[in-house]
Amino acid sequence: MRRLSLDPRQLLLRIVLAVSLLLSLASCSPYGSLSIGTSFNLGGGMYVTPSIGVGGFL
Amino acid sequence: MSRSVRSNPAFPRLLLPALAACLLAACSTTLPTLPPLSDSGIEHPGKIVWHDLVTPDPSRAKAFYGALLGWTFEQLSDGYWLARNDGIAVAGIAALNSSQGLAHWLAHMSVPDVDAATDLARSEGGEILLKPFELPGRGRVAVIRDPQGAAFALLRTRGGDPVDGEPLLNGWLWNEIWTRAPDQGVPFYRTLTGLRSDRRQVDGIDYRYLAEGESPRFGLIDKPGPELANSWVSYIRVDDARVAAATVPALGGKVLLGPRPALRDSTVAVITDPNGAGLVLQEWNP
Repeated sequence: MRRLSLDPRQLLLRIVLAVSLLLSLASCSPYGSLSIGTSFNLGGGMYVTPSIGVGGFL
Repeated sequence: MSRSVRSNPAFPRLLLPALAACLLAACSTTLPTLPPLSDSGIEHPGKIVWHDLVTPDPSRAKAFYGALLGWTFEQLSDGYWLARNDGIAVAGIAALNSSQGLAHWLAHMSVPDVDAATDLARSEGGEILLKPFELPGRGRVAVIRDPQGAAFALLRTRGGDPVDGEPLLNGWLWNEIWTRAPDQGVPFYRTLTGLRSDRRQVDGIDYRYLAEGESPRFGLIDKPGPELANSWVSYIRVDDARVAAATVPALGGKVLLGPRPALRDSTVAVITDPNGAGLVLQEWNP
């Protein structure tokens, strides 16, 4: 196995580059990592239920 | 100074944690600072007080909602935009890190203690999707899934919850849980919020909802499609549902259920935005 032999300044440069890359990939959105995992799309369509739209008139 | 890296065993062990810490620190300092929802000082446990759209494509979402509802947008961070309706903050657009993520409207429910509510939700069969965290300026937030699978956020607002008022045009009108078993969903939310559950006959329909005193907060209905996952669904008040729905396809969205006489006299449309987030457009004339 080849041994890494880096000058500390070179190592520091690589770390800075890696952090910069990670920062550019991260959106820093409050929900960036959220995975709800369900889709609202339907294959078979929707059917009319009379209760849709009632709530706004309570 | 020319020692090999491998000769110092601390480097490999420290490198990844250091990178992770740098990223975490950077993100925590660049999370958006949001304006407070209100300075009312009043809490309304169980009330839906905010909505964020989590989406893999914020640009497309902004174009859609801007054209459909006239919303304008202010960028607060790399991954978060504040949407305004006639100048009033109405929603947030939050980027997902993954371009493959599914878009979703995330209703935020007021609770007095997010950490306690999260623990309670877990003990009642819910699932924690995002552990409690501080959102600068806004308050403490967590995202959970109810025992039937519908995802929503818990929020302890800083400064208080918005006071009740008449829903604005192109603003939020109502919130519901669409589920295959509405009655089974009620106990979880009653326990979580302390709200009372009630039923009301409206046009011959037995409608289930939870209320704070005499103020209805959200409802539960049978989902209008067997393939639809149990979901929280939010309604937006529009001036003309037929006109609004007719513009949706040209903007890249889909009309899942268009206005029709059998559905509140053609005043309701169920749509998805270009990235698949669902919502309902409804006329409302009290």
